[in-house]
Amino acid sequence: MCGVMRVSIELRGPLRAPEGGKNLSLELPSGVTVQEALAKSLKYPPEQIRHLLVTRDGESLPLSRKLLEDSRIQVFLRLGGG
Amino acid sequence: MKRKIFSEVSKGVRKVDAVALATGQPVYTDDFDIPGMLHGKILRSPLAHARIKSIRTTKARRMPGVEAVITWRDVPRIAVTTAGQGYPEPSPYDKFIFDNKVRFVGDEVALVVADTEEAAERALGAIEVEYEELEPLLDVRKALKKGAPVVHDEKDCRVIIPIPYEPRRNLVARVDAAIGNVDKAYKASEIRIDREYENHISAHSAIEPHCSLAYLDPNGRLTIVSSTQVPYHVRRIVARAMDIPVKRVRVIKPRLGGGFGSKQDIVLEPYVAAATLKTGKPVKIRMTREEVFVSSRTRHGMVTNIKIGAGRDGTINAIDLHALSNTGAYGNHGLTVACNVGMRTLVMFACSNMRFTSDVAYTNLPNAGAYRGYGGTQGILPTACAIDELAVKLGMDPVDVLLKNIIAPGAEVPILNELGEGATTGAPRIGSFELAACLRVGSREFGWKRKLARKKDSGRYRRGVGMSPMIQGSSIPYIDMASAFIKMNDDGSFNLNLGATDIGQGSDTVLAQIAAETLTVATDDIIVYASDTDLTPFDVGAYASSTTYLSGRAVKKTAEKVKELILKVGAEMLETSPDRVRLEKAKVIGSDGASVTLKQVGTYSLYEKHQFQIAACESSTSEESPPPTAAHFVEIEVDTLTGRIKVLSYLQAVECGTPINPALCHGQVMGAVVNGLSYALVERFIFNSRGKLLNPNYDYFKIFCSRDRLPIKTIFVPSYEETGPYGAKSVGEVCINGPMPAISNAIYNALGIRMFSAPFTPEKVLDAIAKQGMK
Amino acid sequence: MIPISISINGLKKSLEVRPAESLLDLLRRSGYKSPKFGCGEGACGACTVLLDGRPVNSCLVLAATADGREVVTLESLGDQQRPHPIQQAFMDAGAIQCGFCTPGMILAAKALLDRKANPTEDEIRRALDGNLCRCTGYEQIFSGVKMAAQRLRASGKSAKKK
Repeated sequence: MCGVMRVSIELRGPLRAPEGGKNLSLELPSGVTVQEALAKSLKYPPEQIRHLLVTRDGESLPLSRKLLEDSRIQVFLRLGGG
Repeated sequence: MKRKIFSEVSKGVRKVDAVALATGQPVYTDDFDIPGMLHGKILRSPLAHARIKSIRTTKARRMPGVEAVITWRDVPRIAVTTAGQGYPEPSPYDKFIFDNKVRFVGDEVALVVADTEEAAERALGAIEVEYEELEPLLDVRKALKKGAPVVHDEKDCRVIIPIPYEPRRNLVARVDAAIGNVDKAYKASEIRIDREYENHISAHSAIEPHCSLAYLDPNGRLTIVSSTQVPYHVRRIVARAMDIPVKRVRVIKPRLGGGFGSKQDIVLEPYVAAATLKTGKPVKIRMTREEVFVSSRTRHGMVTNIKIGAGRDGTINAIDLHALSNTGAYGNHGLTVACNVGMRTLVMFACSNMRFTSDVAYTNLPNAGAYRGYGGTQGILPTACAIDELAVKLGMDPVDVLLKNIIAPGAEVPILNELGEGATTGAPRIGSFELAACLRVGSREFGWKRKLARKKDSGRYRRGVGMSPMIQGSSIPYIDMASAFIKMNDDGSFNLNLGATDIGQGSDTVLAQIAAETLTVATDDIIVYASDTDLTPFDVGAYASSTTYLSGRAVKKTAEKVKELILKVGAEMLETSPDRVRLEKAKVIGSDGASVTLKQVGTYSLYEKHQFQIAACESSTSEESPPPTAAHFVEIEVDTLTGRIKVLSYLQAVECGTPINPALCHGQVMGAVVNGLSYALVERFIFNSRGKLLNPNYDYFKIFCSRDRLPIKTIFVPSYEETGPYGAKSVGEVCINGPMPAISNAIYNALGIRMFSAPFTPEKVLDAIAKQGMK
Repeated sequence: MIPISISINGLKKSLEVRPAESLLDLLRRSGYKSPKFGCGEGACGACTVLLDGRPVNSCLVLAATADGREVVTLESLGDQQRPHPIQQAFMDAGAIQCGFCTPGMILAAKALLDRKANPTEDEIRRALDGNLCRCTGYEQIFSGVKMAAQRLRASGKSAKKK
């Protein structure tokens, strides 16, 4: 395995990609972590990827988990404030 | 339903601060004076939308008694949100302590610091400001349209989490949450309801005006004493705004004269901080009542659209709710109030096709913020009224329509994940949820069915009945955190240090009761100290109905840790092992009946042998937000000649788990429902065509007084929440949501006229009668 | 500055007041913090004190006009060790939440009970209608006043005696 892989990201709740969409399909370097994938797709500095709950097939993923080819992940925003 | 016997919990124990308040002790922020203290007065914009072309302060600075005049040029330009929320805040960083632009009539322009209030006030008039007036945006329906004035055209406003934010279009936030296929299910429904409702902007009107006092302690640390609901958020945000480290700031909340959400924002604190840092002296700022109305915070006004599709048998197949929210000149609480509109409505229903969408927009109107109900109030109006309309169309009792469609306790609620608060893997569940019991008990006690079936009155006075369900939450899962610290004293008493914020609701008392219950002592043996960022552990503050539930969990956890230590020491004293003793009625009792009192344990642990301080500090977050629920029923009489509505009787059936202090619980729901009735019947803001509030005073902004007869009956329906401390949920907000929809429905029942916006003043009622005619 | 002679809670004081100064401001800067600033316009009643026995909004009384008169604030009614029966009743009836309206409410209640030992609900509502409360919805405050009236009657004391 080398080079790039495809990752599908489904944004839920009020999350949006910079272009406005909720479903993203990206080519990312192999072995990228969840946090890196989100930082790149949402165009946010990695340290600001907080309060995001990431799941794959209903299972929660830590931000440090390395993704595999053809990963389909869901991203939820945990909001607080009232 | 479990039957629990408690000794301190479930008792109407007297408030721990009752005697201080009853005897008028000087315990509120404005009661503190420090020698050498200066007074601050804020110059506020007379225009709704303008750039500050120039600002000359020389004359003002020379006036007698004036020590400083601060404008946007004197403070670093640092964007913050004033929203008292956990970090990272889901509100835009769009506020600058002083800016070179003003965005509503009443926006901050400059600060004068002088030796007396009068001297500061006089100097305000000497500040020369040249404004370039801009076209104001005063109608939220126009805010997102092309060509609307742009409220926030500055380059440096932004959001710090990846959510939609388009200030160039005046868009503060967008929510879009759906399950199933709403459009298809709605189109396929036999009965369809499609309506627009409106909630107006209104004021919290806490009787204590906002007041903050800052000073440098002997070591030069900035200390702020403030009437705030959120001392920890104040600390963090003021440190940020002043560009100083958090460790150089201390925030103390003394007694508070009510908040209701108006003090869940950083309102005066940055100003006293700036003044103290500039002068080196203590500075106090207290708002006038006019400033509280105009320049503190308001409820978000909203325009809501609801569509409900149902079958002939009353099964609801589709619910589509949209809210256009007016967040005023700044975006604090914009997104989260909007999310709550969907959360405190759709979550009630076992419907698989639901959608909630919302656009939150800026306008050049006063700054909307947190207000008891927090979107739940705005959401329940269209929802409960559309259900009522559906029931009428079906010839059914709306209570029966609700019973047919609401979720059961323990149900899965998939839409919660889409709405954001407390997202979790898999489908989130609701624990205890006794709305059905509230509906049944309330309906029965009110005589609802009989009154509903009553022949309609004709003639001048017409009676009508209406009802509404409502839910709220108890804290915000995963995000919010509370902690407590308990230590034991020689006499068997305990100090309970809490971050939790008593804003008058009595949380100091309730939390002491929880600790007392766990430690098997009297509430009187618990000494409470709270809300001091140096001395009490972290707590997000009094909002989201969290203190009983979340802070209560932290207190119980802490008390249990302390109990373990007590048993260990007691066992040592009784020369046995900890697993062979128990704590009961303030004694450690061995299996052979020998015992030591807590006083003996306390003395032994501090003075006698293997001495150590028995103490613990524990924290809690929650994995759920168990909703308190209620059903409200009202009978009104409409005088069709004057339009006046008289409330003949009002019944609220509420469930909130175990009421830790029934007297305080009762106080909360009474206060909430009277506030809700006031909002529905008499409160309103009147703006002129240039965005100026014309009635910032009690003469023309009415709230209920003792002469307003509101015959209200309250019933607590039993329930028990497993995840709550001793079965409790919170209850502070929920009942404010009921009155407006219940009365709107009652007006329909009386007159055959639906009213889609409050307040239901005599003029509005007469206007509706004239336009629509009575049936 | 205008010199005045005023009795505050039974103590005779010689004070100097500014021409436009309110009685509320005078009292608060003289150390009597129980009357509160709530609106400054005589609408909320948080500043209520008794002036020659009658409840007034002290924010609307010019301090200079209090010359030669008697002012009573909540501080005179009782203290933490021995609260006045009205204060005790308010505590027991759950009539105090944030407590900000409490000093005004208690003095308005005292002024009523000084005149009428057994007021009707209507009379209680009227007596308190100048005092706004946003926390309680008023019901528990009425209970507190009724409880105070009952206890004062039972003990044979009038509200006037401490």
